[in-house]
Amino acid sequence: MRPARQSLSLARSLSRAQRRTLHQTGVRYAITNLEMPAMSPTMTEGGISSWKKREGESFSAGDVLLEIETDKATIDVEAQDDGILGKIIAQDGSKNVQVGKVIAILAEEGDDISNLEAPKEESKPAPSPQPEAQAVPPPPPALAPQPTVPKASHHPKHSKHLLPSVIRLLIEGNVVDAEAIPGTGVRGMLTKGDVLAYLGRASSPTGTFKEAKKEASVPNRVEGVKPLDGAAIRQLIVSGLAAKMKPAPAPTTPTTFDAIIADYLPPSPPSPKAAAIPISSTKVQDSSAKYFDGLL
Amino acid sequence: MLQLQRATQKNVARRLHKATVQLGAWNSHRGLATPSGPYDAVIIGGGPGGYVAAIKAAQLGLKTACIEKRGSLGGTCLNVGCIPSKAMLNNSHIYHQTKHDLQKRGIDVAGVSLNLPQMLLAKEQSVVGLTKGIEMLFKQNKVDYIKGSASFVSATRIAVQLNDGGSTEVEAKNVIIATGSEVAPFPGGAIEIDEKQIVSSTGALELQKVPEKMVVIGGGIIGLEMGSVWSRLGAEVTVVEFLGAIGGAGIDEEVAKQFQKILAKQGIKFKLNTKVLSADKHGENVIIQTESAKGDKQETLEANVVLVAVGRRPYTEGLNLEAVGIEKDSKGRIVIDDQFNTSVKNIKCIGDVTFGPMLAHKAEEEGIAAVEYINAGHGHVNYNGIPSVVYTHPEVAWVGKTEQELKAAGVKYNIGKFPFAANSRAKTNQDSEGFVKFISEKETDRILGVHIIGPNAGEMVSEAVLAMEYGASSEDIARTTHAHPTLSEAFKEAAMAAYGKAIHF
Repeated sequence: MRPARQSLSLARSLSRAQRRTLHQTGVRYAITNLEMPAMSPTMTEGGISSWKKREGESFSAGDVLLEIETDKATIDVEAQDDGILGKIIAQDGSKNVQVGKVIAILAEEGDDISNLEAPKEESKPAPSPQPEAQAVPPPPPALAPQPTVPKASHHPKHSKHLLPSVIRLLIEGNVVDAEAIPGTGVRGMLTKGDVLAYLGRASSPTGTFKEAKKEASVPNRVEGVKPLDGAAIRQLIVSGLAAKMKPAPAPTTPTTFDAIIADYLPPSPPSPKAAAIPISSTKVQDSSAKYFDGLL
Repeated sequence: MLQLQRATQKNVARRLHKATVQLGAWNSHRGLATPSGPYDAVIIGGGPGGYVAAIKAAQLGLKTACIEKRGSLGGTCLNVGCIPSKAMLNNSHIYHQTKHDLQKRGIDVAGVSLNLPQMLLAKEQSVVGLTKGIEMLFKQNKVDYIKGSASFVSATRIAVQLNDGGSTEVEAKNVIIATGSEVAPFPGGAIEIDEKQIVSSTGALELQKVPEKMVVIGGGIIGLEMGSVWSRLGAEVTVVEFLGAIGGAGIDEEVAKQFQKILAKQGIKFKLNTKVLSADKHGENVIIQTESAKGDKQETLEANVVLVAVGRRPYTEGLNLEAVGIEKDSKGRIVIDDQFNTSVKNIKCIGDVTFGPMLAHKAEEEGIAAVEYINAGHGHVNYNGIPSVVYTHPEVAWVGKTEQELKAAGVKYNIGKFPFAANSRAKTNQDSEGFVKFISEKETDRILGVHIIGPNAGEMVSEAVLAMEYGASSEDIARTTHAHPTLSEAFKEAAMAAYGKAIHF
């Protein structure tokens, strides 16, 4: 029973807080909705077996207000505070009442409960404070570190850690897809400058500061040490083939078979055996481009 | 198929045989070399760059040796530099505070007197403890420590003249030169250092008597630190600086001005824009001739001790670099590329002996990066994030760009300043001189430089280095919780001031 009671009290205090901020009046300053409590984490609905207090009856903390039926057991729901049972909305014997649905309206001593009405579908699927919290305007940007992070639904999500300034800017700038911003920080982390540049409020991620590419005394890194990626390799192959497709200059050496294949042979002096191979006169090519006929 | 296989086997066997024969021949040829074969890495120099590189290399599984001729590890830094000077700075500060400051804090002490030999001994003990500690680390990490002077025979072969007599040669696949720097003599050689009356930083740590009058030539970090020590111990110190500001290269002008004011209040005299022409010994005294930088005014100073602190120069003596063709520049620095390679393929170089600021922590980072290049092919040192610290009281520390540099580069910036006088902890400590100054880029709020003068500045600057390493904005610092009450709150408030307003000022 203990955890269940706690969750009930949580739900109550939340809904009470919301009502107070949104519907404050001189008379009904303590009207709260009693919602169908979730007696277990898996409970989604339940029935009301019977109310132990009648409308208008006062109760004190610890009094049993009603009995709830779940598929597993019948459980007493106790009051957390003193008060008056203003109006019962879900009567005895109600079945399949969704968790979070308002089942009664509670008031405090002195409240005018004469014309309490059942709320017009104000019930929520689960006791979640988020939708109402959205209605509250976000606090103005403060200088000091914010004591709490912005509401969960606003908290920008990113695969990398976000700096505090970046979180603020993403919220203020209503940036939905933070991943779309290129990060210039350590291992691609977003810096404040990255977001400002993305939002058009800075000319570049480092603003007017241009980082010197290298220390003056340090020569530039030798390019080409990096491994080639797929695209670069394709580019090299294609450019090599394209070069080969260009008509070769008129051969200055006699176009013999040896001359043509020389490039493909290891740089060793031709063995007497190789030289002895008879030269075919019929198959002589006049340019190496022909080798690629049909291949390109 | 089977035949082919057999033939291959035979071939391999034959080749293997050949290889062993060759290895044997090579071994006998090596003669004096260590019996265990070539080292993966040999580091020449056991200073903060060299010993860190050696330990890192060994930790990465490389067979490593470190050659050091001083007889103790740690280099200039541990033996005659950072460490002993910090011992003297700390103890002289305590002495000075006890004598002049404790009474107003409600502590009455009587009969306070200086025991200089004991203070020097305490300094010596911390040095010995730390250098022996590195020897232990070498043993733990299995770094071979060779005590002797190295000299290149070839790019992979180093002859070592052992300190204990005799010599040996080591074979190395990779060599890292980390021989550091030495005290630069006075330009033109007009002043000869005898380490008694005319001293370098080394001799300034060994003075057996507090000089009555001391002249420090050079208002850089070393000059100001050593000047502070002897001033606190009772000397009348005059700092002569050729430039128009103290603090050395890279200090922010505003900080330098404040720094000079504070030190002047502590009793140090400054002669800026002043050139020293000569320093001549006359018995107990040294007569120093100076001239204003413009050359229109001459002056004669007298002192018991003159400290020459005009900088340091790369040290490559006896390495026989010419034998392997390692290139040096006009200032004697070994030329390297951005992967610490010298002009010889398997020889790298780090620390004071090559480019960049002559700082122990810079050498350390380079040592690790150089070893990582050897081991994995990549390493990194961010030269924009190397802090500088002056360990006077108050300390001065900075990282990144100065206001003047940014102005010259046409960068738009915001300044955020917060005085320690508005910091609760500094106030309670009755130690609230100085300020924290943030410089951030105007559009993006990115931190470009942080300059601190004040208590604990040297420790505080690390936060700025870390922030800059991560490309942080001053807002990021301002939104980071700093414990209360701490000096570091001044750091946070300065960040707040840079992009908005400070709370407490």
